[in-house]
Amino acid sequence: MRRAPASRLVVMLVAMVFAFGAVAVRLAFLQVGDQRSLTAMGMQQRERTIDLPAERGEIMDRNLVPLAITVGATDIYANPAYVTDPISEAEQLAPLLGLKARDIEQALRSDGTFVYIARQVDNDVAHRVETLSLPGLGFLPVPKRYYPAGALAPQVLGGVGVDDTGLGGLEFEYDRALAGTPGTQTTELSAEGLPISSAQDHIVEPVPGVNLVTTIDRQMQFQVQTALKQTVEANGAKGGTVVVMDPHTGDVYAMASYPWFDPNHYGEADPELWRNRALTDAFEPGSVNKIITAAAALETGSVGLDQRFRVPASMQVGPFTIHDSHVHPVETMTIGDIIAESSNIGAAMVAEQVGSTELSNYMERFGYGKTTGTGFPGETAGEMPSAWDDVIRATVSYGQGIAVTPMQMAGVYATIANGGTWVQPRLVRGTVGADGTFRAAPAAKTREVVTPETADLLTRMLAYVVQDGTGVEAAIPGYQVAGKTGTSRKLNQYGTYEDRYMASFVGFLPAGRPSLVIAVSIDEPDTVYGGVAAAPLFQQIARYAIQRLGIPSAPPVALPPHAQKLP
Amino acid sequence: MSVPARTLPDPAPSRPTRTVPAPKKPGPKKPAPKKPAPATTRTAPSVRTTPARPRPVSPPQPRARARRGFHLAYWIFAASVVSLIVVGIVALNAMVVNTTYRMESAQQELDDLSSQQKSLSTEVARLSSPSRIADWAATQKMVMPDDVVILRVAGVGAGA
Repeated sequence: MRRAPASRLVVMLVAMVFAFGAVAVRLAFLQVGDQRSLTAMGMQQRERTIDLPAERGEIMDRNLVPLAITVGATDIYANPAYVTDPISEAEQLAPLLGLKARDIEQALRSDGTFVYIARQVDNDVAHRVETLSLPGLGFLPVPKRYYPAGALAPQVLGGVGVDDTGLGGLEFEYDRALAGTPGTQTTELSAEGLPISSAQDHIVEPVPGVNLVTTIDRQMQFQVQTALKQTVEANGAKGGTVVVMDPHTGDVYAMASYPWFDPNHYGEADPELWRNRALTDAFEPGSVNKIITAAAALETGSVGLDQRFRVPASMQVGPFTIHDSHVHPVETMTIGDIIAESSNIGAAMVAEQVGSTELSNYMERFGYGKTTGTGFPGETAGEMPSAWDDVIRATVSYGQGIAVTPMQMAGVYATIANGGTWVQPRLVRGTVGADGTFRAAPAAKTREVVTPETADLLTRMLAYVVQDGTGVEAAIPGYQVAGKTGTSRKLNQYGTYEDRYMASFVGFLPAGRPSLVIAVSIDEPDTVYGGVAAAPLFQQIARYAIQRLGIPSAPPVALPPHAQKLP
Repeated sequence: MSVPARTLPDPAPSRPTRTVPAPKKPGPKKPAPKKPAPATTRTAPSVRTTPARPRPVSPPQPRARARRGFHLAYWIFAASVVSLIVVGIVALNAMVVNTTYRMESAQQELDDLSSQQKSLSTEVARLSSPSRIADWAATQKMVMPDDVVILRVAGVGAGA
């Protein structure tokens, strides 16, 4: 039986409807359901995106002199598959690149299609290598960090790796701002994977990093480093640290830790030298800490300026006996004499009147036990006693049993120089963007620690130290210097004291109108006293700073009441 | 088999002209030819009994010559316009290419100068490095002053 034509048409129509319907449904799935993944797949096949590196910002000193800049360099690589004579090529490359021929030959013989021969090579050296036309060698332009002043403030600046990322110091702390934002270049590729010449590349321009303006003064930093190195070598010391800062703004003019390294060879330096000891290493401050004991005593009214103490030759506190640095009979001293002569026993007697709670309170107010807020990588807060007793109170009064950084110590004296107001130290003044506009960093935080009157009394005591006390080596004719010596025993790794000392001197000038605070600490000098090992370095730096910063002298402050004329 | 003789096309419109009058043209309206009324009933086609009447052949009209002249002017005008447009486009393109070349040249010069400026800045920074100057000074047998004497001016501050 034959089906009627109309029926066949209907069947055909239905079949066509189903077929086209299926296609439409599949199309809908592809274009709606899987749209994103398929689009991405298509783009991935068709487009290639490469990063365009942003130029790293410069680090400059306070006068906009560059301390760290980025220059062009070249990575030299090889495709060993194309190297025909590894021995000959290695021998030709070795003298130009300063590498061993054997190492180069080994690289040229390695498996794979890509091996670095040398990274961040100077462009002129790379050009000389290129003229050799050795088969299998390739060249990649790359950025390289360059420190034109060499080993100047290396621990402050830090360094960057071969991938142009900050590894330490300010380079690490401000890596994000310095690095900028990389751009991209998207190229359309043909089926063979080659760029389509007629296609338009989509380029997102990289945004260069900002330039960082530090508070460091390049000239002063150099003079400080030169003087520090001479002092350390002259005293047969292990090392030393210096901080020079403005007590009113908190700007750090110079910060040096010896020994140092050349940041142009950051990766090759001993990691121990990377540490910015002014911020990352805490030490027992010794007698420079007595000024906080005095501040607490005067501010709380526990001790009067004229009050006299009978200071014995030694003092028993619990199971321990406290001595002064020199043997003396029972002496009558005012608080000014105790500070000027740096009497440990006298400081312990003052602390006894102040009390542990107030002493602890004032140490915290001066910034102990917390970082200074510079944000510097690895900055330590130091150590404060977890529990106080009579022994702790006595030892802490003259700076043993606690640990602070040289920066914290400089901050204490800056507070006194600033009329009793603590100012947060800072290493960065601001940034300069791509448009050349300077953007100042936020103003430094401040807090009142002691009243201006107390700060004035403390200044008078510190001036007395330099005029007649242990700090005479820091005196500068024509300028009244206020400061304090310190000599502290060092702990070994087991927590017991050894006959190794840290000599220090912290002070400011001129006493009547302070403009500059300088903290000096010398690690394990032959002559252990701060007045001998550290005070002369303070004086040398201060003399230069007076000229460099144009610091005028000021009317001298009156010395505090004292019971004896010191030698 | 006979070949039909070639005949000139009839200049007269072979189709009836459209009778819809222009809406905005003033003037006397021509009467629209009457359309035959649509047949309402289907009829069988009538069988022709008489031979077809020969179509009247109208003589060539002067209007056709005028239209040929118009065509020539039109083509000259059109060719001129097209030529002008082509020349304009070519000139514009040349200007764009020239400007692009100059821009690229200026950009290249800017890049070169920027690179040179950067290189010179780096050199200045290196040469002005305090350590380099100190080393150079040492080779010239220069020495730091042993003692700097600070002079006090009467009435300006005072020392300890």
